[in-house]
Order: sequence, then structure tokens, then C-alpha cells
Amino acid sequence: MRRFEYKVPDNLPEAARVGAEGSARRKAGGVDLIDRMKEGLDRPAVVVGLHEALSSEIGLADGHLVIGAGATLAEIGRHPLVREQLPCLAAAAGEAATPAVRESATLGGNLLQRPRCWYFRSRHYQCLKKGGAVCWAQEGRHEHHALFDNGHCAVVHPSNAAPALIASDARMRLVGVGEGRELPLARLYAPASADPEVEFTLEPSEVLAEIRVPKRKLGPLCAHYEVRHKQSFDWPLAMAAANLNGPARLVLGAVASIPMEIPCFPLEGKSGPELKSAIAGLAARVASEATPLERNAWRVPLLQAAAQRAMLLAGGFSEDQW
Amino acid sequence: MSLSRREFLSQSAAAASAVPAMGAGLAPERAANEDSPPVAGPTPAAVRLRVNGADHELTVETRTTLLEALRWQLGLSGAKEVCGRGSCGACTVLLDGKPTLACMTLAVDAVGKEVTTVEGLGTPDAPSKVQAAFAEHDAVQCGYCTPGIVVATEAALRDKPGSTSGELKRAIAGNQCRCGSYGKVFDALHELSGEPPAPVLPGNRDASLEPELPRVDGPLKVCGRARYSADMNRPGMLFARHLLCPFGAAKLVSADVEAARRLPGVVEVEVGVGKDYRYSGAPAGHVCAESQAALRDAVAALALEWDWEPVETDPLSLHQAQHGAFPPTREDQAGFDEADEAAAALDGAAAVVEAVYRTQVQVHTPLEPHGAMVDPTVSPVQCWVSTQGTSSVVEAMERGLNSNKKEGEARLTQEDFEVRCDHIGGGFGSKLTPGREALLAAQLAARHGRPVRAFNDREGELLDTGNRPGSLQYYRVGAEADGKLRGGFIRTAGLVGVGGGGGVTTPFLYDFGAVAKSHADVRGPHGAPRPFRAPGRPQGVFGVENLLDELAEKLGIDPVEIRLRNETSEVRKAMLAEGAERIGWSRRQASGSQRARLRRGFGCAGGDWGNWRGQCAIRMTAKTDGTVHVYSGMQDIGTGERTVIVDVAADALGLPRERIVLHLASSHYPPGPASGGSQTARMTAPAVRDAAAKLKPQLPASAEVTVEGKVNMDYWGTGGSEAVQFVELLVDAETGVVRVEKIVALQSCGLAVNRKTAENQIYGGVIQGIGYALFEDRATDPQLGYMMNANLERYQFPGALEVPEIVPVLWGGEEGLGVRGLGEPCTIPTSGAIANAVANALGARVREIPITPERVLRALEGKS
Repeated sequence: MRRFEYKVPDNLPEAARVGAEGSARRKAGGVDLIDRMKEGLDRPAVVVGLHEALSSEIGLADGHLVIGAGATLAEIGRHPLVREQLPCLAAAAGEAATPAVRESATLGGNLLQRPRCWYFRSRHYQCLKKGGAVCWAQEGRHEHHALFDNGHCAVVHPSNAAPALIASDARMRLVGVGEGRELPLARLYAPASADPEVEFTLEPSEVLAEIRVPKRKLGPLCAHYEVRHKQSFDWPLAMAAANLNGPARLVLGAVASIPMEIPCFPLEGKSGPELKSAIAGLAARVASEATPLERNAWRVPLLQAAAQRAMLLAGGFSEDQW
Repeated sequence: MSLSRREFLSQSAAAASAVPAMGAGLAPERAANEDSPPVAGPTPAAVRLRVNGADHELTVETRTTLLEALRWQLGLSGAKEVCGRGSCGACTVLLDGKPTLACMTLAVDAVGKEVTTVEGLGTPDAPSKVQAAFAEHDAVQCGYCTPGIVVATEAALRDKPGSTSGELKRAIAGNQCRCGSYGKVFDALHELSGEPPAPVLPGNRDASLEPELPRVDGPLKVCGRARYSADMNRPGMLFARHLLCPFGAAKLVSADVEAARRLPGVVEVEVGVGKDYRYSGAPAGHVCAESQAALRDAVAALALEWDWEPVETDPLSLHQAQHGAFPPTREDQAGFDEADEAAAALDGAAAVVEAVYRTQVQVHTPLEPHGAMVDPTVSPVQCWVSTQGTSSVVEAMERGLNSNKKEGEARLTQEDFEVRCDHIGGGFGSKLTPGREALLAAQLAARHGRPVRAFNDREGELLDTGNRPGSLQYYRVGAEADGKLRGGFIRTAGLVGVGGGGGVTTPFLYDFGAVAKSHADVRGPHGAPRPFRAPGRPQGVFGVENLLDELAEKLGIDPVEIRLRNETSEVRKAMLAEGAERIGWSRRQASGSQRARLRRGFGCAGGDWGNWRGQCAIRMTAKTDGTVHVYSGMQDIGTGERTVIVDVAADALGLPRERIVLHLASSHYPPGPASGGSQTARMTAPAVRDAAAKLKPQLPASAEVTVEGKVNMDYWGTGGSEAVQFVELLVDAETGVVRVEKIVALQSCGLAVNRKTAENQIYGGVIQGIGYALFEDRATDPQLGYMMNANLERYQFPGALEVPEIVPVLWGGEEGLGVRGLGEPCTIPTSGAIANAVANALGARVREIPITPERVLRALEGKS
């Protein structure tokens, strides 16, 4: 890590302002940023600590579930309100990474973490995301890389809270120097095929302040499912979140450069065996649309299983009914 | 009263001007107006940290991590730096009661908070409840991960008193233990959960000394008080590290050496600019500096620029280029020695299996990296080396310490320096030889006359400190209709990087009949192998045990039956029968008969270890106060060697443990064997008994009396160490994910001196075997040859949630006082048994480890 000035504003507009300067980087839990700084990928002259400015509150407002971006994954995973009203998010947050990481990692940081592509994360490789000329994954080790939209830069977006929240129609509140804005969370993410160096649509002067999940998507009919090789500390090989409260939603994670929303109209109005068979059909269709690279096609069945299992769990089918 | 973090920030900005700036840092920002946030850095500033209930004033930079502050400024070395990236949990501390990774936390963010380290939880004399349970259950091996696990457990119990053992297991899922101490950790967690004790297994046919006492250095380790060589800190100590070529083939075209040398705190920079480097991990120079931060600044300032070229890394292509086709053609095979006999054996066979099995490169990655701290300012010069053999690094230290001596100048002799190693954070064979890291520390210490610490970072540790070579194994072997092996052809290749020694132990365990065999080492652009826990055997077992099951399948014979028919060991025959009983082998269904999503499989495999002789000297001094002091140059790598010596001495002398005072791991004590080849316990036990036999008649001592002991064959264990393991597992046929449910590990080792440490070894061997079978793999970039997973995020081995129920069965009986090897045989069978269980579950065989979801799904696809 190179030396840096450390600024800790106590309000978001100030955090937005100082964070927009030059090579400044904002830090909440620091789990991702410090990792990148240690590798030398980020060498900010100024680090802006957000922990005094960000809310970490979790509560209901007008029936909506509101979570401050400063809430840690551990706090979200064990919060009774989240466990009851949005179990898919409680599971996603509660299973991420490791217990100690979850105590530091914030929701905002999880949503804004940068890809784990091992070429991107290594200082030895100059890749498209770092202004280089090639995507080393194309001809290299891409077993963990994207199954969709991967011909240019093949990273996957790693957040496991994002699929659960996007499947729950979450909106994000952004605080900028001006008035700020509120947008669907899905709009936060920019596909790598557009510009590999740009992952988020956030303006430099904006801070992700808060997540709101509308009342219609709260309830027990939602689930998050990860296929992992290991259960102790591992990144998912495929992941999916389904929310069948209100209009059905399915979002895939760890398979594309953005959380991938899948239209769910085949599920509408169905229940029981009919729903189960529609779920199987939808999962198969999703898998059939994958465009894997040479050495990651084996993950397509994992993606299908994750999608199917997330929807089945959301639909109330327990494991012995799969 | 401590300052709040906000107060610190406000004050440090003002105070910064009083602190001399280090390097070309930016000037601290002045508050331009009241709206500006408080600011700190980039220059160092004084802070007050509250650690373990006491306030400490120290000067830190904003970039100083909490771990660096604790370890290098406050002298609290219980929290370890292992991965440095938040992947392993070894640096876990409590921050306001929450488990926190100190390596990823800025020290300034801890201002105003309560920091509790493992040292703050309890002491060896007054351990916390968690620490006491860990010590009692031997929930420790090398002990390097242990402080982190203890703190994580403490946090979970504070957060939720009355946590179940399952909850506690999940609470330590982020703590990576390389030795595989989880089995005993689970025993401790079980006790802490308050759940009723698990029933004691009936018929555990062990022989061990009574009473069963806990490991002697357990309290030290669970309280974070054990000092490892990497923990050694001295005033004025320099930090050094090698620079490595990351790529398989590259020229170092430029390095800004002047920029690096100009930085404050940089003492020495040497870089081989303009040279070609031929493997990933090749040393290209070194840097030495006053602090870790200055060292890293220097490396960054060098801005090394490499001109790389593409390399070939595919084992089959490398074999083709160096030795011709793999697998060998029939014509090649006809050229093997004894090919005619092998061909004849195949001619009369009822079934022939022709198959290729492959094993991966496995990296040791001990949690304490390779290196040393050499202090030349004291006499004798102290060389704290992380080594498996204090006596085996003496010559290298002598060379390094004399490297600056001119012709005719007096040289340091072995009396003038002392190699020490009180505790070792794992080695598994990679620390048997003196590494270049320790040599660098000695050279720099000699040159600068200051203490020097030279240890690898995790990337360096994974790139080039040895590995278990990968293998290609071709078999064309036939058997009679009743399963009796007749013989055939075997060709193996070892993937050895720029080294050698890739031999595969095959044929193995069974009477194979007439075998024609050949082997070749295949070189590639990677670091050389080093011995790794039972060198050659886990590779061989994977091939041989798969082959046996494939033959059994073809002949319609039960896998246990075909083994009984070909076994060369009566002990393993008996183990096969008992193991089948214990795992419930009768529940095994025909391979491929299951259609459910989750499919259950059973498998078994064997292993063995020799009992060759070696040397060991022990000195024993009886004091007039009734104590007996035992001296040995040997080291305790975490197997429990201290405990073995103390328990054998106490038993042989008829004294309580407290009267034995052990002095271990110095090159000035009588030399003992290295911690390799499963030899420490079997060499020391007969030497300690020999010394005790001489001393006992002179007790109680009216004047101090000293005796020397050596390996006495009267106390030697007969026979080898046999192993058989049975596995039960589940495979998810949709995702290819394997979950091991239970492993029964039958193991003979003669007299198990201390039952707890012996069982712990078996747990560790099995757990490393699970890693070998399912997870571990060096992921090489096929373009430039770099190891993409040179970290603990992507180089994977089992964590707490991958550890199944493991039943260690110590197989005793005839041994009397003889002690045999244990550390290695118990890791040999696991991968073969798991592979066979997966094949049984699926009716499709994965012939390559690790058995990943990808390979499981591909095998299933090939079947349909």
C-alpha cells in the first residue's frame, strides 16, 4: 500500500465531495479496497472512510425494508426483520465469505466490489480492465469466468447480495453533491461488453447510501442458492436468487459481468406441480442460452441447478421435493 | 482514557507536522474551513490503541494495518500473518467483541475501540474456558492457525452463549488449518457447546501410555504464547525478501534500482536486470529495508518490467516433447525391462484394465512461511529458522554467516552460532532443506551486523518452496478370474518443474505379478518439488487403488475381496475386514445402480510406511532438586514431539511429567532426526529409553549426573506402519459436488505414546488427503506459466465444513514398547478411497484428482 491521506467525513454529501477528488477511493469495511491496495491495483492518494457517514440501520419505513449501506453482512444475516421479511437476502449475506469478513464487509461494499477474475486481481497481468490490450482469460484459465456475454472481457460480478436484492425489486438511494437520486439497484451495474473498465454507473461524486425493498417483494417466498465446491470460504460457481412474492423474479449471479435478470413470465399464476414443472423449464431455458468459453461449459449445468433450486426453494419446495 | 477515533484524526492532522515525514509523502491537509472532514496521514502520527485492556501509545501511518501494529510494535505475536489478504483467519482478533481480520484492518480504524488478541483471553496458567478446552482436547498441531480459531470460537460464544457445536463449526469456517487439526478442534467445540459427550467408540484396539495426558505445549499454543521463528522481533531488525520472476520464461528488462535505493529506510537492493529467468518463482534479486512498509515501497519503486515469452505447461505436450508419446505405444512398452514376462501375464488374464490416472501438483503452503530471523548482535549468533531439521540447516547458516569474510579472516564456527526453532508453523517436507530465505537472512545479517528477518510472502511461498510433483500414470494390468493380479505394463511420469524426484510409488501394497515398468521425469517452467508427506505414495495409491476397483468391477468381484486376494500384509487384511464392518460396507450398492440426485458411495484403499533405522542422541541430566533435564536438538513440528519425549521419559524413569524438563530444538544440543520420514517419535523413543535406563539406577541424584542415550534396538518397534481407510460420501449428480460424510482410518504405529497427539496425526493425514482428493491444485496459466492461485483465496484445502466424521482406529497389539512412524502413512490411502467411493456412487470414474465438479460431471456425461 502506498501512503495515503485518510479522511473521515461524518456526512454523506461531504463523503461524496471528497471522494470525487482525483485518485481518491472510498472505503467502508475495506475488505475489497485494502485487498486491491495491497496488490497495488489501486494506489489512491486519498482514502475516504465512510463508516461515520453511512447509516447501518435496518428497519421498516412505510412497509418498505430499508437497509443502510453501512450495515455489515453479519448484521443483515442475523437481523430478525431480514430473516423474516427477506430470507433470500439473509441467506446471501449470511453465507458470504467467512464469519470475520462478514463482520467487516458492508452491504454497500458487497454491491460495489470489483470482480475476482484472477488475471484482473494479479498485478502481473495487464488486462482490458486495467487499460491493457487483451483479456487473458479468453485463452487462459477461465473456469470461473462468465457464461454469458464473455467474448470481450470475461469477468463475473461477484456480489452475492445483488441477485437477492435485484430479484426483490430493490432500489438504491444515491447521495451526490447535489440532490441525489433513487434508482432500481439493477441500474447500478454496467456490462463489461460496453466498457471493461467501467463496472458501475455511479458518478464519481455519488455514494451508495441506502437500499429499499418494496413491500410487495417482502415475505417468505424467496430464496438464494449457491453452488460451491467448498462450503467453508469459497466463491460460488453459480448462484441464483428467486423472489416469488408478488411478480416472480429470478436473478443469476457469478455467471456474467452483471447480475443477470431472467424474465419469469412462465411462472406467473402457477402453483404446485405446475409451478414445479414451469421452474424446471425456465431453468433449462436459461441454461440453453449460455454461451460458455472453451473450458467453463461444465458450469452450465451448475447454473441450471442453482436457478432451479433457488426457484424451488422460493416456491416452498423443500429439498426432498426437488 | 483513550482518544476516540475522531479525536485521533483531528489531533493527528495537527500533530503530523511535528513528526518527521518519511519519504516524499504529501503534506497533511489543513482544515481549510469548518466543513472539511478530519484527516490523517500520509505522515506517521501518534495514536493510542487500547489492546487487551491497556492503552498503548504508538506511531503509525494510515496504511499500517492493525496486524502490523500488534506484531511489530506491541510485540503481540499471537495473531499471525499467513495469507495477508483476509482469506485464512490466522490474524483474527476481537474488535469491540467482533471477530476481525487484523491484516485487513487499518490500525487507525481501531483507535477508540477495544482490541482483544488471543493473549488477552488468557494465559497458560490461567487460560480462558475456550483455551482450556482446546488444550485439553489437543485441538492444535503446529499451532499457527490456532490463535485465530480460539479467538473466532470465543467471539461466537460471546455473541451467542450456548451455541451448538454445529454453530461453532460454522463460526470457524473462515479459519484455515493446514495440518488438519479440525478433528480435535471439533472435540473442543463439542465440549464448549455443552452438548452431551459423544459415545466412546468401542473396540479401539490401541496401545498407548497411561494416563492419557494433553500435549505439553498445548497451553502455550492456544494462548498465543508459542514463539515461532517468524514471530521473532529485535530492536533495529531489518526486513528482507527475494524478488521473484512470476512468469515461466522472461527477461527482466528494467528495474528502477536507483528509485528504490533512494527511498528512506531502504538498506540494500540487488536485482538481476537483463537476465533471463526460466521458471515461475525464480529468484531475481532481493530487497532489504528498515521496516516491512519500506520493503514494500522499495519493491513497488523498482517497477520491475518483464519481457515474457509463452511457455508450454501441458503435461502431455511436455512429455511428448521430452520423452515421446504418453501413454506409451505398444511398441514403446515392448522396450520396457521384463516386457516379455509382462506380456505373458496379460496373455493369460481373464480381465485387463488399460487406463491413465493423473494427479495434480500439490503445494505444501505451510502457514508459517519459509525464512529465518538471524541476530548477529548476540553471542552465540542466534539463527531462528523455520525448519524441520535444526541440524540440517547448520551448514547453510555457517556459509551465510561467513559470506562476507575475506581470505584469512576468522570464520564463525558452529560454536559461534546457534540454530533455534522452538515452534514451526508447518512444513510437510518443504522445510527439510535450508531454503534460500534463511541463507539470505544469514548473509544480510553478516553484511550489516544487524538482526535480519527474511520470510516469504504468501505468493513467494506458493511459487517456489517445493511441491508434490504431479504424475501421469499408465496401467495395462491383467488379473485372473478370481481377482489375483497377474501383471502387465506400467509407465509413470513425474511433473517436476525445474527439479527432479518425480517418482511414483507403484506397484504398491499388492502383489502385482510380472510388471514391466518405466518412469520419466517431465520438466516444465515451475519450481522444483520437495519431499511432501509420504513422497510418491499418495500418487501411487491413487493409480493402484483405482486400478484394483476397475479390475474388480470388470470381474464382478467386491472391492474388499480383490484386495484380500492380493494383499501383501496380514495386518492390512485384518484392517480391511474390520474397516468394512465399521463403515457399514454391506450398505454399498452396485456401482451405477443409483438414480437419485444424491448418490451414496463407499470406497477403500491402503497405505504403508517403512521402519528404517536412523540416528538420534539424547542427553539427560538428573538434578539434585529431583528434576530430570532432557536435551535434544530435534524440533517439534506440531506432531507432538515434545510430548513424546516427555511422556516416554516419564514412563521410563517412573517420574511424573512435571519432573521432566525438556530443552529442545537447538543446534547446540545432541543432534536428532529431522521432522520427516515419520521418524522423530520412532527414533527418540528408543533413545530416550536408552538414556533413562542408564539414569534410572542413579536416581534420586545426590549430585548432578548426566547420561547420553542413543537409538537402542532393544526398544525398537518391529514391522512397518500399515494403513487402511474406508470412505462414505455423497455426490450431487446435478452439480458434481462431492461431500465426504465419514472416513474410518485404521492405522498401526506400534505404541501410540500419546493417544491424543497420535489420533491428531491421523485426523491431519486424512484431512490433507481429502484436500488432495477434492480441492488442491496448482492452477497454471497456460500462456505465461504463472500460478493463478498463488494465494489462500484460490488455492483450496479443506476448511471446517469440509471435514467429515473421522474415526481414527489406532491398531495396536503386539508392539510392547516399540514406536513406529505415523505422520505419513495416514495420508496415503485417502485419495484412492475417495475416488473409489465416487466411482461407486456414480458408476462413472474420475481418473484424475482433484475430483472437481467439472470432472464429476464430465465422467457422468461420458457414461451416458
